[in-house]
Amino acid sequence: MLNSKIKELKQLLLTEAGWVEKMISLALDGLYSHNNDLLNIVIGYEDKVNQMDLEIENKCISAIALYQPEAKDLRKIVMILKINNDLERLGDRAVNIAESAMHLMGKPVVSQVSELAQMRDSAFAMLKASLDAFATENAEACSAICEADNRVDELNRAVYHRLVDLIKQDTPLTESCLHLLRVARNLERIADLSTNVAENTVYLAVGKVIKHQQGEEDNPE
Amino acid sequence: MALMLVLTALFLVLFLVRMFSQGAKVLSWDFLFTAPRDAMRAGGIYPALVGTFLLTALSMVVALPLGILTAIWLTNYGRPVWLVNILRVAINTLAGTPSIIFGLFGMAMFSNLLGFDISLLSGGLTLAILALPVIINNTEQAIRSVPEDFREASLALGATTRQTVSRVLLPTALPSILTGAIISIGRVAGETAPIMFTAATFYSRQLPKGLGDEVMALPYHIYALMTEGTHPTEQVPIAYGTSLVLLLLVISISAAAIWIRSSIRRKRQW
Amino acid sequence: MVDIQLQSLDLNLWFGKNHVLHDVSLPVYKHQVTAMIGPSGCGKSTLLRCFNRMNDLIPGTRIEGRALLGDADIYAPKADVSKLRSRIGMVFQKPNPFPKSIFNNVAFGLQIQGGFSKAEISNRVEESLKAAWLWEEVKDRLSSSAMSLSGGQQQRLCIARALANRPDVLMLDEPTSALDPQSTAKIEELCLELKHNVTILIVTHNVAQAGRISDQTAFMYLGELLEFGPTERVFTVPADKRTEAYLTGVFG
Repeated sequence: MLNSKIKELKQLLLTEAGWVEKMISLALDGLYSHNNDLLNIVIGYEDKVNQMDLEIENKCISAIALYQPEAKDLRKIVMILKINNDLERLGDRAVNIAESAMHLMGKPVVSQVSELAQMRDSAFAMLKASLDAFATENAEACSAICEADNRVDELNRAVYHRLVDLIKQDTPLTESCLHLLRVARNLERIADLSTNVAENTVYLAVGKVIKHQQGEEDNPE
Repeated sequence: MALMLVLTALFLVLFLVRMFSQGAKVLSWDFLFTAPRDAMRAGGIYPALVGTFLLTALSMVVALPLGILTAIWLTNYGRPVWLVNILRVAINTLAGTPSIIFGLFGMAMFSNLLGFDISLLSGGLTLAILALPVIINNTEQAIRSVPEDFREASLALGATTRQTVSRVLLPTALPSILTGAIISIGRVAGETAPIMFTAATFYSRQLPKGLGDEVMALPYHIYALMTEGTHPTEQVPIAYGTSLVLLLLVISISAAAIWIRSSIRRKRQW
Repeated sequence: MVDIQLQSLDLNLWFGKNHVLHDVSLPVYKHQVTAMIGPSGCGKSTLLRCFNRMNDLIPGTRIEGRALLGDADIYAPKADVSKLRSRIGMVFQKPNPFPKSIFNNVAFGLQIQGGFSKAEISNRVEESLKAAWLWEEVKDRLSSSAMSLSGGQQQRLCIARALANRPDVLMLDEPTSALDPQSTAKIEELCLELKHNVTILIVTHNVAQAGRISDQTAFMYLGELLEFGPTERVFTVPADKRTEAYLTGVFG
């Protein structure tokens, strides 16, 4: 009984994850290809993701009330609840990026910030990796993701300085820079949330808590 | 405590030894299967054996169905309550009545009032009444010791009370009921007083041909030999011999009952 | 809109002077598992026994109000109680197979009804044992004594015995409280399977069990039905404070 419920919950979560991945992918594409249609699709997904978020939350609570899960089952359900939350916030970030991208349409293009493109690639790679790790309950993959987060933070600082310099120059690019700042912040948040998903996956799979241990190697005892 | 045990055992041993020593010398195939001769100085006790057998059989034929049905009524139907109470008083009174009173009652009721005279019928009926309370109590206990679970399960499946009794309660209680029946056979076979005035005779030339005939019986034979016998030297040993036969009969019946009861206990799975 | 298979309407019951059930109106929906929970002595088993009139066996019982099986009044003056009890099967807390063979236990209901051929009885016995998930374990020894089975097997035998009548409703009165965890789990899963064919009403003092297997939950306290609703809702957001207190272990 409980097993089939957990399977169902995981399935729903993976569906939601698929939507969120798509949303972020489309938002980023739309940002760089200046394609308005893509951006509208992203916003269309938001409703679906929010509905699913509510459904999964209710089902998790019911499962705990009705089945008193223990050990691995309990960890799974609680982590599904938490990852569900993370996914919903990831969805929000995708929408933010889409909105920024829309604002950037028709504005002058900023081309001196290569780190932003690197951030984009890294963050998206982390997202994919963390969702794959969750799907396969693979704890080993997670340490790489946590390391990647550090690099994204560095890139974020670099992008910030670059854009601030540009803004100080007070060119017509200023407004675009501000929007790009917002995009960078959202990308950094996407990386963070992906790290969360990875940490939660580790707890789900092996019961080890690795969050709030920044910069430390993930060594088994 | 141990002393009491020893005393009792001693008593029993002495009793049996006395019986055997006095009676064994008379026993023979002849003794068992021929009729008495020479004014009871020789010969056997065959007619008495037959008489005892017939009396016992008749009393069981009457008492068993009556007793078992009464017990079934008491345990499964039992309404109105005032009737149940009257019945219980009656049963307990009967159970405690001295057997000589049964004899008198039998004489008054069956022999005189109903006109059966001194006969197998009178004796059998009297013995039936004697056995009745024992059979009722035993059967009732046997039925009550069937776990209530079975009765509930049967009723919950849609069985009527009658079906529950016949298909579940009686089959389950049957071995215990049987034990009780066998024990009452043993008891009835050895009763003297009830048959003294109703059925038994000192000497009958032939075996009884019908219910209206008088019969010889083992316990009465012993009594008669010891009190009315005219030739004690020959007759006392015969009395002992008869006693031994009766004793062995009762012992083997009791043994059979005990054996059945313990094999029930071993097989019982609830 | 799901059909109501069994229900009580404002049912009141007295054992002598004791007012044991107060205005209980409980619907039992077709092909669902309805669980009755509540502290000891709250009247849940008593209510169960009202439905198949087993309380009639206790002298001094008085009933007011109605109980219906489908549209039929269970307490109608001319009601056929035997027939009622074959349409509402009951399984007890302590497994109580008869001291007969496994076959004769399951066939009992048919034997008392009469009118079945040997082949029909044989088929029905097999069908019922399969439905109770016991067939594989006993198919080679149907004539051996039912008492040789383990506790969990005996209880499944009792379920098969009740199912042989092809009842509309199967009532179980704390069926697993005398069993070990594995047998308990098996019977819980069995209930989930059986409900597709037989409506199930189960009394349990194990709240977790009600959570695991029931679609509807009824909470009873001191002879009253305090709350009734879909299990998921009752267990997450109970409407009555006393239900919440019971579920969180404050009493009972």
